Amino acid sequence: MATLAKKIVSPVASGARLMSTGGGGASATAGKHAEAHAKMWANISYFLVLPGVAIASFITFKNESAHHEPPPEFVPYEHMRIRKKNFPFGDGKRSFFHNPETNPLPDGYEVEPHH
Amino acid sequence: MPKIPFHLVSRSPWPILASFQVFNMVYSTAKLFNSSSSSYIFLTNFCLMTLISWNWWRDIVRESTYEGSHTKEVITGLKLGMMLFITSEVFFFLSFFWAFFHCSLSPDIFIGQMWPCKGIKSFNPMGIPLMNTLILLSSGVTLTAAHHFLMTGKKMKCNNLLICTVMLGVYFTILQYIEYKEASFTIADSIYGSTFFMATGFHGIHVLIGTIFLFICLVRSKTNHFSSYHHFGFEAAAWYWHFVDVVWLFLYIFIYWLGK
Repeated sequence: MATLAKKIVSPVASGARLMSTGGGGASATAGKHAEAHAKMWANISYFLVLPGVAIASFITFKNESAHHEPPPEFVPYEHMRIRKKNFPFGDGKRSFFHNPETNPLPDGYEVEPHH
Repeated sequence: MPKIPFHLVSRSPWPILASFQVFNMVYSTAKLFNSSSSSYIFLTNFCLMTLISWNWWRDIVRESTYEGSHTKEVITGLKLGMMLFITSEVFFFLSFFWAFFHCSLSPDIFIGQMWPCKGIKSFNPMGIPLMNTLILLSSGVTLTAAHHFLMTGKKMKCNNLLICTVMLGVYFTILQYIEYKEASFTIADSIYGSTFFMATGFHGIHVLIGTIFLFICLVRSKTNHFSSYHHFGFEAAAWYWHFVDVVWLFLYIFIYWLGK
């Protein structure tokens, strides 16, 4: 079983199969084509995508810090701050990503939000 | 020994242990939702599930890399399995989108007959969410480049691009954490908060799993587990990552942008 498996996936067998499909010349051309393709994707990654992410990050963080809007005014709507049972963590009153400045509890904000 | 191209698996404790542990996970998750004192039971079961999964996958890697059991026919089966798994994931996310459209397209009078619900201040889709879209699309490009280098046998270049992909995955997770922390609504704030955090939260978990999957591929690539023509583990990770990418595009368009 193991011998058969090695036969099927072994590099030698597979390499021979690759070579035999189109002859030496065709295989070399295909190899060059594949390498050119890989190089194209790498160039897109290194010279377009990654610098693009860096520039976009800079713009996003600049805009985010400039436009810091205050959280909405607390209104005790019935459909908001639903507490039918406790959360299964902490004191059970606060959500997992609770922020005292932006997330009011059922009776209002814990701390005065910074404007 | 019969001469067949299929992998006749040896005895393993992991399938039965995983089956029992999946039951424990379901039980402890349901218990977690109903009692705050069950979080330690859940965490213990989660750790056991992780341990069993780790050991099972370790054995599969050994069977593939060191024992040569993954023949062409076996890989066809693995490919089919991964396709079916991703299809099931599509339907998993479809249910959250269904809930979102059900609630948002005809908002109930109890939430103010408006979407987002009255009192909800949604995110600016042109800020961090747009940045996250760019990050995931970029990670798709770097991953494709890594795959092309792997197929041409340039391991070093492949590893460098795989590192970029993993880092972009981590970057996405950090930004999503910042966004969650700055949100003016929680999962308990109306049906908007519930559908928003269910859909984007499960996507976030998938990004974490995808990042770990790619990181494992990086470690395997560095330890020469992959050859230029035998690397289905890498391809499965790439399929999964692209799936997560596509789900994000739908989340961005319908929940962040059109549903704001």
